[in-house]
Amino acid sequence: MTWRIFSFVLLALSACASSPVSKIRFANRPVAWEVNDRSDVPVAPRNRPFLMNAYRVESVEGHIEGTLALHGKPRAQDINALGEVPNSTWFTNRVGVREVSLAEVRRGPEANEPADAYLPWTITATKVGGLAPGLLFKDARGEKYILKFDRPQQPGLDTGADIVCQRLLHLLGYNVPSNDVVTFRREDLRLAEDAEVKDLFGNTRAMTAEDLDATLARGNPPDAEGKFRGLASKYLSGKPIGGYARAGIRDDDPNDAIDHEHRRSIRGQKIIFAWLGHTDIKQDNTLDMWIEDRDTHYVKLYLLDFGNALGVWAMSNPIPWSGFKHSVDFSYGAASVFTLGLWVRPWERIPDAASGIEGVGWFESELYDPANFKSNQYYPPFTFTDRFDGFWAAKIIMRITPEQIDAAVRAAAYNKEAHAYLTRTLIERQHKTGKYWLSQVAPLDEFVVRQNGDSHELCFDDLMVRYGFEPESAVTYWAIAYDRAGRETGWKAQRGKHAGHQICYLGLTPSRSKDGYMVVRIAPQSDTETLPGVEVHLAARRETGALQIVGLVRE
Amino acid sequence: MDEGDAIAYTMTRVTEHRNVAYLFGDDRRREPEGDTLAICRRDTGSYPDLMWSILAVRAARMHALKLWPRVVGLALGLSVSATALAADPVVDPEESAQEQPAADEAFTGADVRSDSTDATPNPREAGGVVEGDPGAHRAVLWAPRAVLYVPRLAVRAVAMPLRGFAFLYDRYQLPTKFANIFFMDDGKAAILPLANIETGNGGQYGARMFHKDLFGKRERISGRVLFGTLDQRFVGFKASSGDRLSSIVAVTAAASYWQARSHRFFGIGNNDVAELPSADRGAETIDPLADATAIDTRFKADTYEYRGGLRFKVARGLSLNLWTTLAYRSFTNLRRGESSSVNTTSVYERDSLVGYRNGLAASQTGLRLTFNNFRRVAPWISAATPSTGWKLLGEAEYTDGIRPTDPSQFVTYKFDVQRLINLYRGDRVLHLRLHWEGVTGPLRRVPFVRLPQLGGPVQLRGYPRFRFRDRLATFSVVEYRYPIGEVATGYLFFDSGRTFRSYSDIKFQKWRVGGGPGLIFHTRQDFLARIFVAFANDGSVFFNLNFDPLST
Repeated sequence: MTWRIFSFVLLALSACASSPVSKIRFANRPVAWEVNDRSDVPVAPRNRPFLMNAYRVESVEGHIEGTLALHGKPRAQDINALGEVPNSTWFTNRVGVREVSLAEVRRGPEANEPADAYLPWTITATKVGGLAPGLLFKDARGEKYILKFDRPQQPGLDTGADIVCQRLLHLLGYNVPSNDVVTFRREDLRLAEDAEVKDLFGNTRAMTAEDLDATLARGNPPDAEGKFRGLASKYLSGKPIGGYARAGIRDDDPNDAIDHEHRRSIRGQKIIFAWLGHTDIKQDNTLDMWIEDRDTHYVKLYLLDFGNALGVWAMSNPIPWSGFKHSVDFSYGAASVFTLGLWVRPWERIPDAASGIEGVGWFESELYDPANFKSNQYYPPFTFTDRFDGFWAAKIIMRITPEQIDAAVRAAAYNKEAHAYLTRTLIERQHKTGKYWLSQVAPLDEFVVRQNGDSHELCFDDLMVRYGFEPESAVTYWAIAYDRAGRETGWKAQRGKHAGHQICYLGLTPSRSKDGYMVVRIAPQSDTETLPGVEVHLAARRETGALQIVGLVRE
Repeated sequence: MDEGDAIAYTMTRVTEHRNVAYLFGDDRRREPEGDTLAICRRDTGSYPDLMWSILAVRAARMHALKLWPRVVGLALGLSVSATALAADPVVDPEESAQEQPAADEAFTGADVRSDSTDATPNPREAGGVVEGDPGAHRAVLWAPRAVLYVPRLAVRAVAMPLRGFAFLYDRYQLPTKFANIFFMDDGKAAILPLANIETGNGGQYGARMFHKDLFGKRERISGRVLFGTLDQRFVGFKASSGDRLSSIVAVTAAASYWQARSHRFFGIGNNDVAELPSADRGAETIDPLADATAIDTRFKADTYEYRGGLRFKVARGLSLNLWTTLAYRSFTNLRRGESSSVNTTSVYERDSLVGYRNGLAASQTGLRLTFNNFRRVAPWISAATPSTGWKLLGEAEYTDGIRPTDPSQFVTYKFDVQRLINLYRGDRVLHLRLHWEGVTGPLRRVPFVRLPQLGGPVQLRGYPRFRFRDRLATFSVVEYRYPIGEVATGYLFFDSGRTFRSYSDIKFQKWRVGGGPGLIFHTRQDFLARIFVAFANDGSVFFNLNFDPLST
């Protein structure tokens, strides 16, 4: 009897282990590239206040609890069957999926001219909160803006970083406000009759010309022509309801269906922000807007305030470990205690992070480590970031061309030296990011299946080869087809040393499973190692019988 | 049908299953791609999950805008009754989904949302997975998760009050309010809490106040009030003219009162602590001037000091101080039952404790030359933990009794050399220190409380305060500092020293050694607190927690 049970268990285990393909199966339908999270929310969700210190405590607590919960890294949930993030109120695919001209990159999300084309401005209030000085104003058309400045003796530092990141994040697919570098003279500013000064406690008083001059004096002084440089950020349309929570959902927004820490569009920001040296990540640097769109209302989610990116935070505080560790980082603290300071921490290998160029923060590429980026505060979505999120983010980062990076930097109106340095550094960091994260999964992408007579042709790109991170001849791709139940169909192929970054297999025919469902597992093998495989799930269209890709599973 | 009549429809999602033979594991046998939606007139089923009342005109518009797939998505397999609904009898969600643009067609245009979003799946369904669970492998962790559940609860319990405090801190802008309470005049003035806890001396708590720029020329006043266990009290005030008279010379004044209700006395010399003599030894007391036997005793002391002086800024980092102090001291025994400690005079001969019987009243005139160029080498290093530099001090003070009962007539002298060596990047620092102190007069002319002393939180850590005293005292420090975080610096120290009766008595035997680890808490600019534990080579342990924010 015992032997029978043992044999049964063995048999069951061997049956489980018999197929190398996963148990995941996809619906036979075209891949969804857009989700509907714009259902009418007729009442504005409540405003979510941001409390910085409570946020810090909760972040640290959440990190410890999360570690003890052994939650691991569950896969992201806001993805389509290809592992891509479909268009939503959070994210809109742009670069690489449609033509984005250099002019569009330079211009950003706003089609109109910058605010300094509509002078004079009417100052309505001083900015509340934040360390940097600022003003609220209306341009000659009546459009509302917030005006921020560079800190004294640092022309271009804050405003430039904000513009570069805003342009690149928009290009990558995120919602950002319309920001522009603007110049103006003191005489272009007029004080509104009801202009007021507000403090943190909500107390207000009438704003005077002296208040205005005092605010201007807190920023970088005007140039020789008497022109101030500032950053004009246009008011977002709709009603602001606070930033989005770093974990969980907004429970009064029925469209917010996926925990934020399980959104690839947020988890992937870890890789994107690492590239951009943007460490000041917190709820306060996001903003949800309840907007009216035709006859419906929904919440649209924005990223804000990038003035501390590109190493500005590190330089202005100054903290050389920005991006390397959290401000309260138990792992680094413990390591320092137990090694009595003998351990040389990663940032300490940088001889001098300062480039010495006016307008440039501590932003370098030599010791930039895309694998070990840390935000200033614990940010739960980033603790869940896995190699699949990293692959997605690196993939869209790599789609940005050097010319597009140059155009984004050009929008910030830096001096020539800063422009050249930042463009070069961003490109170098982009390549480091791509090289690391694309190699963490099978770097195969852009799968296409085409009918070719009676059979089908399956083609894909090796991104590591495409971007020159790996020589063409270094990889062999083994492919085996399975039916829906995970049994081999008999189709096998090996693409040998290839001559380009695109690889095609011929002779694929639908399996005998329902809808001709089949799984083609492709396992790349380099000269030194077997890399994780990728499963391409195919099914025949019901109307034509032609195979279509219904899903991808990356190992 | 007349206008205004209500018609009921029921919408039911018909779910596809491979089989329905088992009660559990329904999800594993589902085939969602085969699901259909049935809509029939009249209400069916006893417990509809949702009921909608929709105007016919609205229903017609939903139909025109192809909103049914969205309705289907919301239905999520629930049966729904709706009134006044005009729609297609059956809507197949899969057919609707196939109306989406193909992947390669989706982004050929500008970044503009089209009406096709109405036909798109809700965010949770975009993945299209109908079988399998990508996260299923984590299930094996249930056992360690269960074990770790208790620590998780503990973390939550600890964090709850912190979170509450942080909430109040933010919600009511406590930092600004605290700043308004503790700091005034743009931060030039402050009132700050103080605390000091140390082995053998209990705790002292109080406040410090200062104003660094009273009238705009860096005129400075400061005060310190401390109350403690063991009935200790300290009140002191200082004032400086700053740059009012000259940028080079400042007039200084100070006054203080210190009541120590449990001042310690271990005899005079470098001996190990001995047991208290047994009662059968009778009334014989020890002459501390002749016998170095060390017994842990205590007495009460009251000290008043009034000081006036000049401070010269000779050069950058170099300053000269001149002062005259009038000091009044009186000593008494502990009252019976007041403390379990041993009265000093019950062990040591009262008349050999110079000044004990009649108190002391003396003038102290001195000068001090200091050079200090301690500095940090990088702006991210706290000013409270400098990286490199020298600190040199030379001091001499003549004390003369101003009452016939005070026999004081001696000179106290001190030399102190400190060196910070930057080992690595300004935050791995070696701190070396050598201190020498002595008095010139004979022991009969030097009150026992004015003898150079070792022990306590600064001079020879590891030993209790006032553990050693004699005519000469020296100690050295080797301390290694290393960074832990933005607000904490760790250190390891090794102190050694001893007292001598005279220069001819100097020898390297019975050297006293203490050492241990410590932590300094600080901001970028200022010291906040220090904590350390020191272990001495005679087995004693000394702990000190000193909270004195913004002190140097």
